Amino acid sequence: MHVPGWHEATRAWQEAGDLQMVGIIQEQHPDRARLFMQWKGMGWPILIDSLDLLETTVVPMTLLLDEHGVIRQIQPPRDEIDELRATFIDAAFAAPGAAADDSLPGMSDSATAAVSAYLWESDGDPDAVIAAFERAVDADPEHGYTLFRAGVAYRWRYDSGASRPDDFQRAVHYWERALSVDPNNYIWRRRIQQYGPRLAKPYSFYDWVVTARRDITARGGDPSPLVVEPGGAEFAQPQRAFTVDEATLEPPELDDRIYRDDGQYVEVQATMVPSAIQPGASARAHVSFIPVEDIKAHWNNEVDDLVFWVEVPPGWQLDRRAVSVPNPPETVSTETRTVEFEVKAPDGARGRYELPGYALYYVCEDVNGICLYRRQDVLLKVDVGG
Amino acid sequence: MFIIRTTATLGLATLAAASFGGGSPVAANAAAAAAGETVPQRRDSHFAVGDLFPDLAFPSLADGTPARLSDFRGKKVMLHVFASW
Repeated sequence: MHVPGWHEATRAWQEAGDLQMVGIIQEQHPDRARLFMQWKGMGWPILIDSLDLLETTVVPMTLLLDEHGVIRQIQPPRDEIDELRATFIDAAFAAPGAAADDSLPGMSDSATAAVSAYLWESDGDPDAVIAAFERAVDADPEHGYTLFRAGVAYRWRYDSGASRPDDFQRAVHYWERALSVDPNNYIWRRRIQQYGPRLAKPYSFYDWVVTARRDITARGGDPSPLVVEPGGAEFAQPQRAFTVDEATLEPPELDDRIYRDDGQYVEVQATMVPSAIQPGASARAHVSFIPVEDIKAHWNNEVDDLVFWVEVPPGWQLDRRAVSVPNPPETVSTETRTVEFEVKAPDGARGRYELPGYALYYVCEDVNGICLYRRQDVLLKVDVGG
Repeated sequence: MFIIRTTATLGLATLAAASFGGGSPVAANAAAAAAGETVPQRRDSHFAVGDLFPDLAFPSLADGTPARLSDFRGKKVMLHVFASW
């Protein structure tokens, strides 16, 4: 990999104090970089740029900065590293006379306020951050970076424990709008692909997490914990052809007679990535089940797993018709449970399609101290064609 | 000038002021241009050799406090802009 390779190649310079390595990571979940750095034995400073304030459109990029902070080389060739001793490490560069001209596209006051709210005030009030981004988008609805950053903020609130309905779908919506402004932006495209279907995935984004944890543990360490575990889409490998898992669970008898939970006990967030596809293409559904905190709802793990079934219109394909979430070992728990599956539209599809699904689960609440077996209906929607 | 303002929560009136150099990498398609077609220009970043690196403040991964590249002035720096994927 690019960065660990540079780390190894410059290790002697780092240890001698001749070279300072610094990283800027552009990820939705920056804590994953902490695990990555631990895994690779890289202890140098990392700065977080989830919003892509630097407006780079590709990663990785390597830059050499002199002792004055002036960029001396961009993407130095690895096979010319020996020359860097004379041309960079031992060279004395003159201080710049003045700051370089500003050429960054201007941001509105509202966009600037939204960025500051996310970066420096986000612990206090996630809703205020989202409101700031909505104002920024209203002020400049075609500013790609503001749209992308609004998506980052929505996904962040979705993961924060203070999520609001449709947060994840809104994140996808804003990333798609940003990409429509500039379809060349690799960072924006990757953010959608990270959560998207396998047919559109360039590689597995976070399959390395499993290996990293195993390696760190094997050498006697404690893997750095992740705030948000990667989901199925982030572990998934790319796929060249849509495959269907025929070994699926059968729906239980009499399932239609199970009392419904209309969101009183468990809140549902259903997200399609992408939200619109071309005929013959696929999308990945993420359906999250969140116990309602107000009534102290929690999962009863001493009984059956949560199971989700979904139906698709004629001609559509499902990679699997039923998905279950195994109970954790604790007898009760309150975590968000997410099921993921993929659908593929037929070549002739066009328009908005609805995919009815339902979940069955055991949930308890502390207000009246009762446990229930409930069904919740979920209607997924996906647009096909332009 | 690109300025990120913030509140006094961190005791800083202005956290970042950045200057980005002009000049973007351009991949010209000579044949298409000669044919009179409009060719999208490639721009990977605002970075240009000879420019000061923007002095933006970012949260540090270590503890979330503001950090910037100017914290490393006086040192030769190899900067990697990357993602763990």
